[in-house]
Amino acid sequence: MKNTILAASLTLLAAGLPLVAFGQEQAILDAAKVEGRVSVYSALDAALAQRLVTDFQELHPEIKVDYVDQSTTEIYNRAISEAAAGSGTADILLSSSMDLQYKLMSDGVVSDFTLPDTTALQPWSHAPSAVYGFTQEPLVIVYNKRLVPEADVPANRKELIELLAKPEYLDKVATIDPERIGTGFMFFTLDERADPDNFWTLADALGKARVKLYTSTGAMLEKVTSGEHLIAYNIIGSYAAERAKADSAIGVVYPDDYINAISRLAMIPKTAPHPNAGQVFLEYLVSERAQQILLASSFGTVRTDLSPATVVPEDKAALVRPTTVDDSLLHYLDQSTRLQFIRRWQQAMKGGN
Amino acid sequence: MSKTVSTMVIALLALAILYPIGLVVYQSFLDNPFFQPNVQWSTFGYEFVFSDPDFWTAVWNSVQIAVGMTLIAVPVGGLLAFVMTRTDVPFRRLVEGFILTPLFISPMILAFGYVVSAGPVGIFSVWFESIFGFVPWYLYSKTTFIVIAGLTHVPHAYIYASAALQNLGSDVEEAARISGAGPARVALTVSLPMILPSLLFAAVLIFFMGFEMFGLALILGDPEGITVIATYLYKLTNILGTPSYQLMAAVVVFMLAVTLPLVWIQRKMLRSANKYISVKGKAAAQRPLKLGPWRWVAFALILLWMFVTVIVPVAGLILRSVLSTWGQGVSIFEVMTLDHFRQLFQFPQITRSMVNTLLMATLGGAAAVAVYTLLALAVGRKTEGAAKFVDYIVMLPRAMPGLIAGLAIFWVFLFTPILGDMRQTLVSVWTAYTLVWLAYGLRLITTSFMQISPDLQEAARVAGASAGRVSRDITLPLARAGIIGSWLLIFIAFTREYSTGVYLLSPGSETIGALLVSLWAGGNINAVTALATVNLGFIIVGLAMLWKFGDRRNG
Amino acid sequence: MAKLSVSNLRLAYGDNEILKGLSLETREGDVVALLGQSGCGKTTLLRSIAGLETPSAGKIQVGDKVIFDADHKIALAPEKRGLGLVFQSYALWPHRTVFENVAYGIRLKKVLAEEVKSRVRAAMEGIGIAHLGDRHPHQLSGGQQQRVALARAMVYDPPIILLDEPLSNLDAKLREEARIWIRSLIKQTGRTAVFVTHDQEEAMAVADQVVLLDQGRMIQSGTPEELYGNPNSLFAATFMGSNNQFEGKLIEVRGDRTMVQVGDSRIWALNKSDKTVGETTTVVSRVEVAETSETPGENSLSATLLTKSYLGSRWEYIYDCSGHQVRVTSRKPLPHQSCFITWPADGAWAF
Repeated sequence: MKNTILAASLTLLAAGLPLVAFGQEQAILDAAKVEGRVSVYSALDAALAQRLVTDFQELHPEIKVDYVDQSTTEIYNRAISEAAAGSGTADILLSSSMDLQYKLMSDGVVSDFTLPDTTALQPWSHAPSAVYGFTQEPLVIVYNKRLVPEADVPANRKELIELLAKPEYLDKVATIDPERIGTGFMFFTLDERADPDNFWTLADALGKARVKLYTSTGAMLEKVTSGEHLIAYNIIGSYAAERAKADSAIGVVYPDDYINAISRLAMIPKTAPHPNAGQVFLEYLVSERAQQILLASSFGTVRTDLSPATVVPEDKAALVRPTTVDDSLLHYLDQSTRLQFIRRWQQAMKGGN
Repeated sequence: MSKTVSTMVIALLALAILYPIGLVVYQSFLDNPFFQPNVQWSTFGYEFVFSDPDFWTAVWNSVQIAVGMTLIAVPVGGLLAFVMTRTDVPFRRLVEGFILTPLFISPMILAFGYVVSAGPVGIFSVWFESIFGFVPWYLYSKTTFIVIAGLTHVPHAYIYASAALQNLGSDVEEAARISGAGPARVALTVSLPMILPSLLFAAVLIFFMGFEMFGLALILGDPEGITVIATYLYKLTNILGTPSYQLMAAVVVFMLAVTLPLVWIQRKMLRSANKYISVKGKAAAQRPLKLGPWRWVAFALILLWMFVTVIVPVAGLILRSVLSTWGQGVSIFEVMTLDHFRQLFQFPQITRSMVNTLLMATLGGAAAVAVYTLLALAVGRKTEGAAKFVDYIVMLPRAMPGLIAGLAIFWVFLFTPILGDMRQTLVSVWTAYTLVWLAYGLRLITTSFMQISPDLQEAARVAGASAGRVSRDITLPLARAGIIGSWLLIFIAFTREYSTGVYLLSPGSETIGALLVSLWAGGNINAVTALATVNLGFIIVGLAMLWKFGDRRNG
Repeated sequence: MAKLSVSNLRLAYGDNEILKGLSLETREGDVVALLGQSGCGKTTLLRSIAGLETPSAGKIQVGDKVIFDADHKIALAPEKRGLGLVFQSYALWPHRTVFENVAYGIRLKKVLAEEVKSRVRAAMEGIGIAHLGDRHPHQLSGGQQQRVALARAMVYDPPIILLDEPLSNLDAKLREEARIWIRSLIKQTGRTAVFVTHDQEEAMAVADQVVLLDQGRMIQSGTPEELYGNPNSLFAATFMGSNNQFEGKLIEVRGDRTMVQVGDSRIWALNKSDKTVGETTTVVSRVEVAETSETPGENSLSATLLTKSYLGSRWEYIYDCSGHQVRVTSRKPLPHQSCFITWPADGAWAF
């Protein structure tokens, strides 16, 4: 017991927390230990989640982690239903669906919780006292190294548009389906916001190349590997980079015009049965210790005191545009704005037929 | 079982089915999630869905697929059952052990196996092309899809057909042979028509499975953008930004509405089919029909079916699990690796998920079979009217996509005060599984009950046994083999089931099916293939044990 | 040991009326046969008595005990009626040994294990199957199965034993033996028994009282002699025995006799109808009373031989009598191609 407290305080010290906050911190930690467990509902790579949970367990053996893997939609459904029923099961929700997570906050489903110290966190990565990003994952282009000649590999979106016009890429391009996958929708709206002038040119070019629309990043990577597809656009960089480590066929392009990056957001629902343990886990997620693990697994960091911040090579690091956690995330949740975007997208997709 | 008890059992069943379904119907007429304050009545859900051309495309695709696969699965399953139970086809015992294999493999894994084996750059495709210069199939076309779905659902038809055939005396077949009919003609004109009720039931069940199919459609439908109703629901979770329950509910109500006339048709056809089977033949003596040289043809056809439905996808899957990369222009011997299996050891959930799966399938499966048995006994005690009512409602849970059924049951547990405590236990998951597999399981049990002559039960009544006593002393002991058989099939169903339980999964209750899906969603295909391969290994061990057990029982 | 009385029983499946107000009285200790063609409702009646069918109207009473009364909404469950029933299929439970099959009924009555044993043993000995106790039904012959079924139905001393075509599953030789021992077995134990059969010979051989049913109604009830010797209707007359039958015009009624015009001849028969002169009537006569003679006489018809066959114990001749086929049996061969057929006036009935 003594040793663990010592270890815990040392970690907190190492994390650079001011001693003033220590008393309050200790109170939460004690309460969390009394609660004894924390339920994490999460949409995250299983292997990474495992590493984080194991590490947390080492740090806080008294707080047992119950980890449940869910999709982003499932997390949202569960959160609003449990909030309405006033009976919760989740202590902390992790999801890559930034807009839905933010909506939960603005709907008042999330409990107010301010990290004692946010100085080491990127200012864009969190909304005041509720929602905290804990990863920074660039969106990239993936190609098959075996089959795409060096000269064809596009360095940016402009080159991609040119490449899409080539007949040998017809039917050979894949991307996430923004109509069916909420995060996919977000990726494309980020593109539109980043480069409103050229985005629809890109979309039209994808349509003309008869792009294949997928619901799963894994399936796309698999098919690029096999050569069924040659190029995939808007792939989450963390998955691509991890895959490329072992798979010689996967090439990753960090576009040199701009690189959008998304964050997975963590929050504690108001109905959390173990709110203190939830807080301890959330603090852990953005601690240096956890962020190192995230970095090692290609998921990036939201801390300012670690570098490199993402898997993006040093020379392009300046091009990374992290997605700010603020009200702009709600923009496309408005039905008519959303439908308008989807109609335009559908029109672009028809270009090939 | 007394009449009061059976009435109560049926009332409970009705509640368990109609409560979640009622919730969905109610939701379909609201403008927001039903649990939110200020919800208004609205038909927006229906207006939106019915005016969406994508919806009708999905419905049309689903109908084509459901009809197509039923037309393939039922005749093939029926003939397979005939060949296996009634003829002297070689290696019967061996083949029998593996016929159910396609049922064991999660459709998503199966579909992925096909991508690796028979996709445009799949192993078999490339190999075929190198020999013949072309590939005669395109994996992602609707036709291929229907063929795959049909062939992989053959075991469902087989189960019901073979059970019914075993109950049919061989004298009727011998009579046909003496009149000059060959084996094929005997099957088509005598044996199969006599088991028409079972085939019809299988047909309706398979149609529904096709109608709500998800896993296969998700993997094989993406490249050509073929959406079916279940994958169309995906779109609805996203189209308005937040998941739009009223839209999804409207689609589900549409699917339920399709169910009722189908059950009506099924009942009508069953009634006319039953007329012709009042004569059963003597079940005592069963001698296999001699096929002569045709036995090898039959055997070859069975092998071909197994090759397409089992060997091709499984070979793809297993091969993929030991490769770091694959595809056009890769020499697979250079990229062999066992890393994916090593990676598996990173997940302590894996052992946990195996224990959970085993627990859910054995104990949970047994409990579900107990419920189905109770129900079958209760329905057996009731009048025509009650039986009709049960016929109609048991199909309803099957008509909903598993994910939605699971969500509705999640709501039931969440918003019903007395059930709240059970939500986080496996009871809720079990309830959902039991409901979704109700039609399937109930029919298995009733089939085995029907094989017991009512005389035997009446004899016990007259000798002084109460109805409950008769069930205990006569019906259950005599149906034992059938009940154990049903339990094995429910075991399979529960092992593979995932989507229904998604919302009810509590921490630490992950199953292999759940793990595979979440690994897939997380993009970790290496781990998916390795885990699926390990899972397959377990299944083969299980099958071998089953086989052994079957041997002993026969001997 | 008990009297069975059934009154005005009605039962229908949908529009299909099976029992149309059936009534029936038996005496204590009688063996009663329910006789009729298939579909006449005899098995349904038996099952109604056992409690396996629920009639819509009527009353059933065993001794003083009302076991069914539609008016008072009394319908005892089959297990509460305490009757014994032997099924046509025997319905032996395949998963139980012979001993367990027989013992089942008394075990349910919470009898001490020792007593169960001794009573079952006694029942099995009485019926000659004591040595089969450990076998399973599928290891028994048809005759043995039937005995087990009987033992099972009798072991707990039911006031009435019901038997549904108990002999139909035995082969012809065995059946004749079984008739005798079933009757003597039931008589020995002094029980009342009701059994269903479609075989009139079997009914007469086994029963004290035969109840003839047709289309859900009782046609006639009485001793075998009464039914055979004095049928009250055309149906009863033609159902029993082998008969010759003629259509003719009623010419005269005199006392209990009538004269009927058949072809060119007139024949006398016992009057069994209230038909008046001029109406068409049917005359029935048992085959065994017909004789041939070379000369015409009282009550005779001229006949031409059609065919003959030898049946071992007798010869059977078929003649044509003005369009009617007539059968005559004889212990000796008959020499004539054409002759006259004759019988006593009280050997024929006009309906």
